[in-house]
Amino acid sequence: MLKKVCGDLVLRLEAETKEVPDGKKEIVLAWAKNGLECFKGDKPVCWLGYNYPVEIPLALGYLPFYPELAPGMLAGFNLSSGLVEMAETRFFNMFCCTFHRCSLGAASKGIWPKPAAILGLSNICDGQVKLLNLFGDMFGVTPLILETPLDIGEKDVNYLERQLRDLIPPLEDSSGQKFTEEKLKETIRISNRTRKALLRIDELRKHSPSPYHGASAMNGLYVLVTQLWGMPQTLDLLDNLIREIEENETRGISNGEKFRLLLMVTTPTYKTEIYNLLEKKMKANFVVAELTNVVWEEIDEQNPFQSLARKLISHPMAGSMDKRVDWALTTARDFNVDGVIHFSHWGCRQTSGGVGVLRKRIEDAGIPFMNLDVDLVDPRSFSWGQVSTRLEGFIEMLDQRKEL
Amino acid sequence: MLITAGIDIGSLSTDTVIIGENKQMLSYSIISTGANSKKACDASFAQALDRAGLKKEDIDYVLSTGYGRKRVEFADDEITEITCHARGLHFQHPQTGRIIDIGGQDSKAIAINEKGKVMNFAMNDKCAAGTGRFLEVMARALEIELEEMGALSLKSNEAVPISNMCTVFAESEVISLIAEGKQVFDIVNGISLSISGRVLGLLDRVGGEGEIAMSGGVAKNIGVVSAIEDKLGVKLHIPKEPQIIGALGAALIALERANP
Amino acid sequence: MFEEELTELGKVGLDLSDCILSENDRTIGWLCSYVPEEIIHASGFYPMRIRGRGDPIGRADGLLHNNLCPFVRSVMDDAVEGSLEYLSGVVFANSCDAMRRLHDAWSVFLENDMIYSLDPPKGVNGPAIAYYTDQLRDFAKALNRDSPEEINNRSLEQSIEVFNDTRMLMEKVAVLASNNSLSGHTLFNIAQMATRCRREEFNQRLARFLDTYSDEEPVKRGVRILLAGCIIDRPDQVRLVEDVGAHVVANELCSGSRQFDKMVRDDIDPYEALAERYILKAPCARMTNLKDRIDYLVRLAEENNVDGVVYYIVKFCDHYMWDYPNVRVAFQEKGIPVLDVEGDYMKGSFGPLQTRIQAFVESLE
Repeated sequence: MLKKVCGDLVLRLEAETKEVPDGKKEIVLAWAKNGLECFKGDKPVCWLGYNYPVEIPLALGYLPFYPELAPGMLAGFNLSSGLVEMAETRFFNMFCCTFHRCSLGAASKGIWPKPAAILGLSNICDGQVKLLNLFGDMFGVTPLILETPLDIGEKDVNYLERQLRDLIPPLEDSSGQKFTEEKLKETIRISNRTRKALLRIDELRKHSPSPYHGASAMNGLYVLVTQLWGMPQTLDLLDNLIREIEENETRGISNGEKFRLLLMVTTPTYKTEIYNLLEKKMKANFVVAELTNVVWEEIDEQNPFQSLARKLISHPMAGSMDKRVDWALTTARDFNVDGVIHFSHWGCRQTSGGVGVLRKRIEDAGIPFMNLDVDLVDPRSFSWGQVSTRLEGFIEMLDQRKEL
Repeated sequence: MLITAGIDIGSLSTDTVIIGENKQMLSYSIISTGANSKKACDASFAQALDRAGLKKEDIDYVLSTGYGRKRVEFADDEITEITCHARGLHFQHPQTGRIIDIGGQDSKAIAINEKGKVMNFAMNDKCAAGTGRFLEVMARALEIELEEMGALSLKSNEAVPISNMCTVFAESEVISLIAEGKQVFDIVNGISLSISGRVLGLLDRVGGEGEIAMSGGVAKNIGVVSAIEDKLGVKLHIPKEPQIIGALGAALIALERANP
Repeated sequence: MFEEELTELGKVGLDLSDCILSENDRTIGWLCSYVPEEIIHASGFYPMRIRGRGDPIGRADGLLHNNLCPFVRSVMDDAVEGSLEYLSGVVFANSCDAMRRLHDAWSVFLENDMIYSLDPPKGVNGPAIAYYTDQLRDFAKALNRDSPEEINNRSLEQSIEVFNDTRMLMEKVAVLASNNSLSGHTLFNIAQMATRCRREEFNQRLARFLDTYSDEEPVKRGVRILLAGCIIDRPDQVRLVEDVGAHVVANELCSGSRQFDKMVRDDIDPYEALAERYILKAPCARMTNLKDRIDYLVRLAEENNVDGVVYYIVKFCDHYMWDYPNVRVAFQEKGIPVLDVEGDYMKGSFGPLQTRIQAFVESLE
């Protein structure tokens, strides 16, 4: 079914973007094309847990597939609920993360492209390791799990670096390709250039009014960063986006921005009304998002494993709340935001478990904060009445606070 | 004279308030929302107009609020009940610094400033626990009328604690308690404590200072009000008609918009 | 504290009332069985395992989230209410997402003069053990700044001896339970109390008990059950399982027998020995390698000749929940029936489970 979705998307979007170039549509097109390639079978597919340093499997000729994140895409096409239900018949109850439940359902129905390797991280969330273990069983592939330390001290980085090096032999076996320093350098160069491009987009978004928003823009950037990272076409896509944004700015295209928001976690792909409500009606724009923001230093080609280890540990979700809070406070100031909205995904313990801490630290810094409990994958649990009231109430409050 | 109207379409009741230029109350109406919020909204508006001796054209600005606010065709604009409750209670009782509102399907705590503007708010999570819905479900399980709950609760000397967070599980728990022979009024007391615990959690989160006022239908439930007052150690300000506070706030904001 | 548990143990002739830790002792609390108690002990503080009271959650929901492990929320609630103030310090571990956030919330909402945090690996291999060894050295250094006594190799080796003694003694208690001479809830009770007593004295009392104990009232033979699963902190809950005709001959509980698995070596550097033992011991579901855990569970069931397994999952525990389907298949392949039950760590939570457990036990008779 994913194959069909990707196939249909490629046909439709290729035609549409030929007529009218559209940076965001091109991102979805690239995702769909990569999906189709994964099904072709002539290149080995690597299943990656969220935030995995994809530069390494790319250097070994793998095609990347993110089984945890694909459900979010399916949700955007209203195809997720049935798969979530399927997992429930296999015992996993309603308290589990639906990204994982849906992925399990999809895997059992043979919807995902077959993996030649499975790579994961121990410290983004518990569910990731558990899910990948089950996949390992299902597909007869031993998952390789990186032990991600909480802290970023020297000992921690060295430990992680060593594990990254140890990955190479088994990955070579499963891909049938030999590892070379040069191939890794290549993917790192692309990764670094992509990073620069992403930084440029965020620089532009710091402008007031912010020139980049809307459902397809936000969701598009999210897909690009979390699922298309490190691939050559990604660079082109970003460059196109940058051009589009700069052009819009020059032409003075704006929605009359009144409020600037910081997005934590991400928004449900199946409910684009959120953006209509916030941006069109209330003139509130998300000017920066947690999962598409550059938080790591450039990767050092000469010392790739160490830098990749640092990149990995720098992610705000990979560790204690200190990282996330510091990121939020610094970024809120840099982007001059009026408020922070955090979407807690149902069943996601590590993000929702930190909400109390986020709220206290962010509000203590004088920045309004709101948490919304939603399900990012299963629209059946989504209550638009509740969510819209809270979103509107929050912006109304920002308005009233501004009067002071 | 400028005349404005606020309409609050809630899950349980639909209320209209009509005020004049000097913020004087000209009329109000409260009717049950039932299954058809559009019908309820038309009926409530019509009743309030009738009681004020006015026609639709006499109203200069209509502002709608509540969960059904987007479906009021004749409204000039819509605004959330958070902002409206804040304005309404502040008008009625200017010393208010914090507000508790337990409605049919949402409960909230709001911190306001001396002008009645919202500084911070917190709402219940997805669950129905801590809302009017919770009380409805419990009343049904106990086979009593919703309106009886308050008075019953006061008869109790010892609350039976309800440990379950979820409305559905709490319902089963209550049924078991009845089977065990626990007194209905002790159970109702436990329910009041449960709901007040939820709401106080919201109040905690919202900060703010100053007197605490309560709006929403559940403000009429003296058992819940006492439970909250006991826990806080202060008396709450309860308006005479807590249900119309949202509509009143909407009418006041409408007045500001019509007369900037 | 723990009057009920002490009384129960008194009934079988084990009197721990004068060695149980009280608010007057200098204690450091710990939460996860991957934290080496020996290091705490060598510092002159008494290590004490923290449990939640199991009352309905109050403020913790707002400080954490209601969609999180109830054990973690229960502990947070107790801390916020002040009932854990007697502890001189607390050692947290990155056991799982919920425990990670417990540490974060504690750091923000509570006093934290003496808060320590360990990050035990989830994989079992040489580099992981080396990594943990380094952490343990750092932990001892940090503790040494505030501790009444100095932790050095010598004092650490002495503490290791004391805790190895407990492991040997608890092995014998486990045998008693397996031989129907002692009830499962008493075994569990003793296992829990070990972590709440001054350890040297506990060892003495327990040794004496083992010498003199004879089952004058032999335990009624019941269906032999292995109780596996998430954290249980009340012996009366284990008793509820036995009340319906079962004999919990062994348990895999983190707060029970699994704490005492495997000795610490005395022939290598003590920090290395500790890291090795704590990582290699009977695995918690948090460990990455599911096969290891399944092998351990099946072995435990077979060695104790069980008729069935009760697998207890605490609500929101992703680790135990996700493992379960494969665990069940593994047991079924060996012809061992399994029952899964879900609870929420609260005081009354086993009541509603009794009927299901009883039906399961009856099916095995």
